[in-house]
Amino acid sequence: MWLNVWAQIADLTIIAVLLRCMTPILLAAIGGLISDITGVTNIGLEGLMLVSAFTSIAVSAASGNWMVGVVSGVLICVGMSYAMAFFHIKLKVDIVITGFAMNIFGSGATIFLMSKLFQATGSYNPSNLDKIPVVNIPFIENIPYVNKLFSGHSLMVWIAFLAVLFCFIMLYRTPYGVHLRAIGEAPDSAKSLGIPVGRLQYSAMAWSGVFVGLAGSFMSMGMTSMFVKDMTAGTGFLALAVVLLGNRNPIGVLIGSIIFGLAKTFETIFQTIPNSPVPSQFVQMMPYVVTVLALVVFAIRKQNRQKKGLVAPAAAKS
Amino acid sequence: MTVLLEMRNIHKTYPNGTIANRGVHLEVHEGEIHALVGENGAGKSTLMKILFGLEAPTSGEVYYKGSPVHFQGPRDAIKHGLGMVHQHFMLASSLTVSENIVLGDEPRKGPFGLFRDRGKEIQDIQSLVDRFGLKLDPNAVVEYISVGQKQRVEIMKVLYRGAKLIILDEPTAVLTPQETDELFDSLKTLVAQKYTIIFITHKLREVMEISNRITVLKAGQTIHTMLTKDTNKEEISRLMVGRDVLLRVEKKEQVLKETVLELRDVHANDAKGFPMLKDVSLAIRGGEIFGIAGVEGNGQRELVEVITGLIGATGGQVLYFNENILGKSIGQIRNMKIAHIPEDRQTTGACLTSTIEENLILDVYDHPEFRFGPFLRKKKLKEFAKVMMTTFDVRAASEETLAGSLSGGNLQKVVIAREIAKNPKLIIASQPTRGVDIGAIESIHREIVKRRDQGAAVLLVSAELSEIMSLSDRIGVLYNGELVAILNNTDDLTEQEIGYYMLGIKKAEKEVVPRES
Repeated sequence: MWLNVWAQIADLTIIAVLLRCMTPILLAAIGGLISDITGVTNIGLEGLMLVSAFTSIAVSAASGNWMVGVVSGVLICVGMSYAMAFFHIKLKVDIVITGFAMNIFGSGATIFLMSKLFQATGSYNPSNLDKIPVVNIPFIENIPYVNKLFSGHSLMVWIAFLAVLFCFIMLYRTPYGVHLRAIGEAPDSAKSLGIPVGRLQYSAMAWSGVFVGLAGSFMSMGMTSMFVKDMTAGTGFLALAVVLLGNRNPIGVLIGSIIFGLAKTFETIFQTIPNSPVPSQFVQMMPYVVTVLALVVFAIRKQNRQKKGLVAPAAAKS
Repeated sequence: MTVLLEMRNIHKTYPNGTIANRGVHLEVHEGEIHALVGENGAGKSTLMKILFGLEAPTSGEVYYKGSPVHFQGPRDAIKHGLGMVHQHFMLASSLTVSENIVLGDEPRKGPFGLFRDRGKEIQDIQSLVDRFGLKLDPNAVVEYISVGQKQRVEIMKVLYRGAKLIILDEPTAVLTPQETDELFDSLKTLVAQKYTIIFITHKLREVMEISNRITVLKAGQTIHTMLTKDTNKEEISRLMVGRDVLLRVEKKEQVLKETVLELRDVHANDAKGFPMLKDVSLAIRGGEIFGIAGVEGNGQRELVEVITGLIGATGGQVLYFNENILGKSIGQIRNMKIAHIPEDRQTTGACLTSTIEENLILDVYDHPEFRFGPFLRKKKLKEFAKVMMTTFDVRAASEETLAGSLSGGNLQKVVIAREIAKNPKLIIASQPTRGVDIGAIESIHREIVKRRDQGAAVLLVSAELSEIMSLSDRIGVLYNGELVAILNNTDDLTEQEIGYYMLGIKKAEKEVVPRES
């Protein structure tokens, strides 16, 4: 069995699986990051992903065009996040409550619509679905090993990497991004300098919707080609953990997504090995165990840094 | 010498009746460092809020460069060349120095000015650094720079936006002596380049060192404006603390009993870890009111919190009837007949969203006579609350009235009723009459004196020197966390004398002997 695992690592199959597993986490985490950085923690990632996953597969199956499906999934997510922002910023509803409402809504609404529209209870498998295309790069696809690295991945995998770059440039290279970072940390200061805090938080939630929407559509039309009820299975919460673990910056989020992606990858690999001696329940536990461990490590690191922060000014004063 | 800013006859009465300014005149000349001095509550911050349009004056005018102005807020003021550096920094700590400085006014480039022009950002800041000698690394993250550097960032923020008149609110409160010197050097550079500075402080040494002219505020009024070279520390402190009226409270002949509270070499830090109490020793006996005078922020809060168990001490002993109570829980301390009237009745003293009754019974609800097994005896508690309200003259519609809707005086009476009803042997009263009306002040004072006459020991902390002087039997002065003097409150003790100790001009030469009285 270990040989089987090793074989998949050695022939770089693991990379292909990893890229597939980490993409939804990464996209959702980027979405979570942009809103979190402005002080609005989007707990509703999970629900938003479900809504997008369902919408995009349904629209894609109906229209026969994957792009229409993805765009509609993204648009509906933007709309829903905007509504969340309205509830939180304008109506002053606690963001945690707003987020949980979104999660419950996302789960319930998709199951309801699935049964009403497609008379399906557990899952919806449209025949001849136009999936998000796979990018095969000529020449490279014929080179062994290298092809596993660069060729044959879903377009969304590349979009996810571009999203990291986009997010980085936006947050660090544009005045808009600096404002987003400032309002989460020192809202009063930003306000006194004339930065419209509320408006920026709305826009951040809209961005959040864009990336979570992409994550959702990849789940139903890239990773798989069906919608299963509650198919996100905690991915949104993993993404939130990644945001914190990644220290609220895009590069950290990328690294965090790789760690969680690896956990998921091993889960997948172990599950596909015939007669595995490890009980499948243990294998399925892995991503969550990694979450807990990662958060513990993060908390300890943060505590140490705070202790140092306390010592520094006192030393400066004496 | 042109007049840059003039504030004429400013009056400000808050809706709740507090009068913050009653006739303030301030005239600032171009290119000077103008010190604005006064005790806490003298009206300095209200005046600045009015200047920046954060509060509207009840009456009075502001003239800037000769014409009347009315700023709509800090943004508007800064457009006209006024900038304020607050005592508490307003910085985003994970952003870099340069990001903080240019925040909201970034140099832009690219299509539609979509991108930051980081080259220009650094260049602009570097040129300001060169011009004013404010040493800063533009790429450093604010979180990791020193307090002095953070303050420079704040000053740079104001300069970057083109302010010509800069107001510094107690800028040296957070600085080390070295950092203070550096700050003063930069201020002198600024003034040499025709910038004007208003320097708010109550540290007289700094006033003498840096300012050209001084305006003294007291109780919301301008007392005097003078040239620094024509005056001295003693005169300023006399103008700052001197008072005309002294409320007299009837006190019986003192009957001293055994020592109730004794502090031995107590040290304590504030929440951030700065040492706030150093070597404080004192003893209070039954039948005595011990007043603590001092400019706020010199350790009074920590003193009270150490005794009541809210914070721990880093050294020393707190003895209550010869038993060390350091390390005991707040509940244990409260049950030892120690009453605590906290300085902030709205957050520490009372629960505003609960009723008067609920606030009154907080200390007694778990006593056997108010309980029936796990249940409360609501009727008995209600009776208890009603009796307390009449005894302490709490004026409200009923005991069901929400505490938050009470006036300051009535709410304070609720707090005092709860604390004093348990017949305490020791009363820790912190700012017991802050923000309450004259009538309530009198009844609160009478209550405190009554307990003293009955043999309780009282530790009274107040920012109102007149209150300390009219109630106390002995007065200790806290300066910089040290008890610099313990004085008998005799008739020949003057406010000026205490003022010298409060402002650190004088220090008791002889070893303070706390146990004698």
